[in-house]
Amino acid sequence: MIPDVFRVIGSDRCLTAADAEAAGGAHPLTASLWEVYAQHFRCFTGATLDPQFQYLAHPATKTGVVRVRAGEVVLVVGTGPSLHAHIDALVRVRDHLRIVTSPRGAAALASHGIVPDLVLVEHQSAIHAHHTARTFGDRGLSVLARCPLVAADWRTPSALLSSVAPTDLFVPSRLPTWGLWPATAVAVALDAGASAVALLGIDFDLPTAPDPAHAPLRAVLELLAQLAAAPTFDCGAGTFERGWAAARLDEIGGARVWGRLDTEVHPAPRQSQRLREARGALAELGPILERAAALEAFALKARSHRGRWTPALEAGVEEIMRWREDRRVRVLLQESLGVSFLPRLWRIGIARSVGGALWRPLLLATHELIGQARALSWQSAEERAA
Amino acid sequence: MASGGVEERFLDVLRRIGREDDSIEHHVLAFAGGPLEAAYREAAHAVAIGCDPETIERHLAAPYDLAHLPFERCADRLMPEIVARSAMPVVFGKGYDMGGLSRLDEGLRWRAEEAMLAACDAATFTAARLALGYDVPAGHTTILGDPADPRRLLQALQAACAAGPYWRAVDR
Repeated sequence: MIPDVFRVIGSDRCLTAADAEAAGGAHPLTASLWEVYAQHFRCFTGATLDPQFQYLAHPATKTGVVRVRAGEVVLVVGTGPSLHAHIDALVRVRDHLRIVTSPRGAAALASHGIVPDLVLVEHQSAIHAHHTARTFGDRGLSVLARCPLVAADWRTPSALLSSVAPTDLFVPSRLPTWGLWPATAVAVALDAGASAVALLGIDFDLPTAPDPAHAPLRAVLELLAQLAAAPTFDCGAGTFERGWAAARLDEIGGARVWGRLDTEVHPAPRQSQRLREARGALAELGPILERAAALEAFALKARSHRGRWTPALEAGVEEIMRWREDRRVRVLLQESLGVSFLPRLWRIGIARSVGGALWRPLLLATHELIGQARALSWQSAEERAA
Repeated sequence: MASGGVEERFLDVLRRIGREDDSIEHHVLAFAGGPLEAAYREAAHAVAIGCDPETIERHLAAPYDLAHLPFERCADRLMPEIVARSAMPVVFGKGYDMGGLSRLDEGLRWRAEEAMLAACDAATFTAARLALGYDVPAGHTTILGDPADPRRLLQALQAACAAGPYWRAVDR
């Protein structure tokens, strides 16, 4: 099992490592986790942001977790070059692996006649999610319909799931995520009780010539290997420095797998309940929204008449920064409204030395916040009418 | 620095700006390398590749006259950092990136992008049709045309530099 502090940190609910330990329990690796969170994510993964409010229309009726039987090995498959290099070996050992992949991974495997055991749908951002849904729609890809289980996080566009049978679809509960699906898939596999976890097609450049864009995923995967009780292998490019031993696919196969993965599921909140919760969040945030609207109007005025009102801008900035002290407000703004900039400004801090240009962070934060609140209000009314 | 996308178009703009006014010094910060790296190194005065906090801090601390964020993903990553820490003017360049295409073709509204357009000092759009899809304040926006007119871009950048009395020119 992955310690809960991993999930708690990735959820962006905490502002310090001590807060995370208070919420998720003490662990010897908390300092290392927090260091990676600070270094590679600037203390904000954005993994729980749903700025398009996809959760209101999510078609799943179940939420839960998967379970892996004793002796089974999980292979997390990406679409990197090593997948194609080892596809024949994968076909040979298919019956001794549980395969977890993404929608694009499922499409790549389908062209070789392989059906994964689980498709995990998790996107790094709303734009990426939209792009996947559009690509699958444009190409008429119905590969998800042929997969026995699809775990789609709440932020998944319903259009991407339209071909999935309700019996095969669930929302993973208490997802151990930092917003990067291969790492989430590994964490899910470890939580499910895999006897070993391996990677294929999750390829990085060599440690001697690293691509900085891959650094966050590499760092989280290396942390997961440290947290794992089970062995971890890289059957792809084998470019990890720590934690993921290079191995061949035919070396890691576990017990013969049969049938569908086991699940423990329970009813997901109905759409009507999700709508009630959205409206409840808006009502609870009422005083904040009122102040944010006033501050947005003021920042717009300051934008038009630059150089004036610096003390008032400073007061406005101090006010929005104080909102971070209320944990409930933080959670509602991030998880109900899907606001991204204010939480990041809370973590970065705003320098008073910016002076007359303080209208910019004030406007960046409040414009998004008010826009999200209006959109949620409108969308929840639409969904209710529908 | 992938080929075939926004990065390739921006490289073309960079080259043409260099021909238009060789007194301007361009430093490029890219989050990842790619096939265009060599061409960027040739066209710019300096190229840094990285998205780690140290690299970003180093660039925020440098005495640049202006930051030009040529598409939405880099703006999303950098704009909060810049506006929170510095008075350096920010120009947000909008082209047919993922956010722009989704908005025009499918009506997807990405409100974070709208907030960035509101909070930058100036915005450029590659096409008037694209700009029409957004609510942008008057006097804040320049249409560059496609291919982008380097003179219009230069005017937009210079106007952004001169716009705010909060901005203090840095002697180099």
